[in-house]
Amino acid sequence: MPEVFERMRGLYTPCTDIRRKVFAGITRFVLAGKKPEDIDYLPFDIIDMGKPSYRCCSYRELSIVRQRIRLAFGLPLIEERNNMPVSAGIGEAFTDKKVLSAPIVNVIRAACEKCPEDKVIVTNMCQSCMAHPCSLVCPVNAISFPDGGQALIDQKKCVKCMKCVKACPYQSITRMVRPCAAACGVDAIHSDEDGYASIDQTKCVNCGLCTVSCPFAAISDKTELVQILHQLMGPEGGRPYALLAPSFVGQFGRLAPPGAIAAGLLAIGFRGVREVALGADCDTLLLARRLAEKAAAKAPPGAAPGEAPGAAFLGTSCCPSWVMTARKHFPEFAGNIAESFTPMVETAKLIKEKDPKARVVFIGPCIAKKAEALEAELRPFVDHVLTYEELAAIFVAKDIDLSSIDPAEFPSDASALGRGYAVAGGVGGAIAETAEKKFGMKGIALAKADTLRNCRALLADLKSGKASADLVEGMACPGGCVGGPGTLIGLLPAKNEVGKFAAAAPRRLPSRSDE
Amino acid sequence: MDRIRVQVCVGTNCCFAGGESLIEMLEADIDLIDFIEIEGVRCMEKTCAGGRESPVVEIGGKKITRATPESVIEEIEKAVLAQIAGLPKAREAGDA
Repeated sequence: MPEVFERMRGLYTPCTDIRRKVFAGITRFVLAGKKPEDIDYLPFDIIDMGKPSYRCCSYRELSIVRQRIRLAFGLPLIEERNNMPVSAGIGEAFTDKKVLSAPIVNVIRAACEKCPEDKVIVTNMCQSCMAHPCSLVCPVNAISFPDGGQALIDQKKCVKCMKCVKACPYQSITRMVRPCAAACGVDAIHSDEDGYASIDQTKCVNCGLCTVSCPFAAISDKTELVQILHQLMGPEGGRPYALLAPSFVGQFGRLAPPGAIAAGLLAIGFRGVREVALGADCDTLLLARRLAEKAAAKAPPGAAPGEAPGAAFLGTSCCPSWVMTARKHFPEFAGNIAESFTPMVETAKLIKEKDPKARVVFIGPCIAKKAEALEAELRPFVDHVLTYEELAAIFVAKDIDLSSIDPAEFPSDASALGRGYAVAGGVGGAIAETAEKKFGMKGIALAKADTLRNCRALLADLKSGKASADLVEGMACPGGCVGGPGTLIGLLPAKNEVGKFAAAAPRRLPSRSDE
Repeated sequence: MDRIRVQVCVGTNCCFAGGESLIEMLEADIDLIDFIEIEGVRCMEKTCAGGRESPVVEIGGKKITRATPESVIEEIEKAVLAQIAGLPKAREAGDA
């Protein structure tokens, strides 16, 4: 069975639809110069009262949309159940300054259906059969047959061992896990006292996979759309640069090549476009060098008693959710993760070195980057973060069609390996290849994992000594960044497009301007 | 039998409303794939009415607005049936 977030991937569901309608509605609202006092009219541009298409009734839709709007404005959630109007203080968001604050990922309780957390249940397929292996294999005698009918599981006794699920000849017993919790690789989602999903923000690493896994679209991240729109509409000097993450290729449709995307960004007001693959090149060189230094400093085998097996590895640092997971769940490995800035920050630095006052917007598939850019030490470099989906809303609201726009010249100075960062295995592969070809290393053992559950399993194996590696790549999203929650196209076409664009790079290995 | 030509708009408005997802869905439909020829096409200008009628799909000259997997498959089935309905005549002529 594929992971929960893979089952709906690539489908344009009503959950996708309402999310995008909110983004486009907000963008049109801001572009039209509407004021905070007009905010109560905005939901009616998005939903049609009297014709509920997402929920049981229009009033519930209205309540949910108001809260989605609030989050998309970048403001902390206010719920009507707090006896406060959801639009309270919305005026604060009408600015070109940063208003975003933690937590990034939020449960909209009005939208949450309070799914059972984790339950083994007997479905109607049960034939109340003569053999009834379910109750025979149950180690805690939790299964009975009231009135000789279908099997019933006593939830107080059930230990979810899954034996009955496997034994049933009719496959009538199933385990129902709340999709948001199943998607969460760090077990941060539980139920609050009323049964609503609740995110433990001390555990959450902002990967955002729950936001695209909830079949009721009840979990949403905040956006910086409104503040970025104010910059794009403002005076020329305050307009931001766009940094495109390596996974951007193909995201805006098969007829929107990189040059068309660059042209679109310039058309909506961005001052310039750079690819983050450039910053990836900086990181590749830095980590390859560190790997070489580590190998040189390594004492001969057996000379370092007491060191945990596998503890010598170097961990990649580009995925903030992976880094947070490794540091939180395996504090003993905290020192193994490279202390380097991410490609996003490295690229932003390149711009700010030349123009310290420039504003920089990172555009990617990633929700964790929104949290990363809130960190005090990184704030001077990256001003805002936007997802591909949020950017597409601006194109749509501004009526910019990338399939027919005259392409602009795309700055092509990143390496093939840097452009490959978007796909799982690409980061570790780039570092290992660079270490071998530029620093003369040989036989680097690379271990890699995507999805946080798999990352944690790999770290556990490294801890126990079941696995060992010189270099460890971790990626929170399935398949790497191309599988991120803010993407617009499927995993396979995205991988193909990234591969083609990497093959077209002017060079394979990263190089430095000082070389 | 000719393959049914299915043109899916992949302009920005239609992509945002699920145009690329429609292509992916059609390509994954193994019962359908042998009967159709899928093509991603440029924005058909006014058809989507600034995105309000997106996504747009054209099948055998007929434009479907606010296309969904359901409505696209229905139209393809119609087009296939229309072709089959045209077949017996040709066969009779051939037999004679």
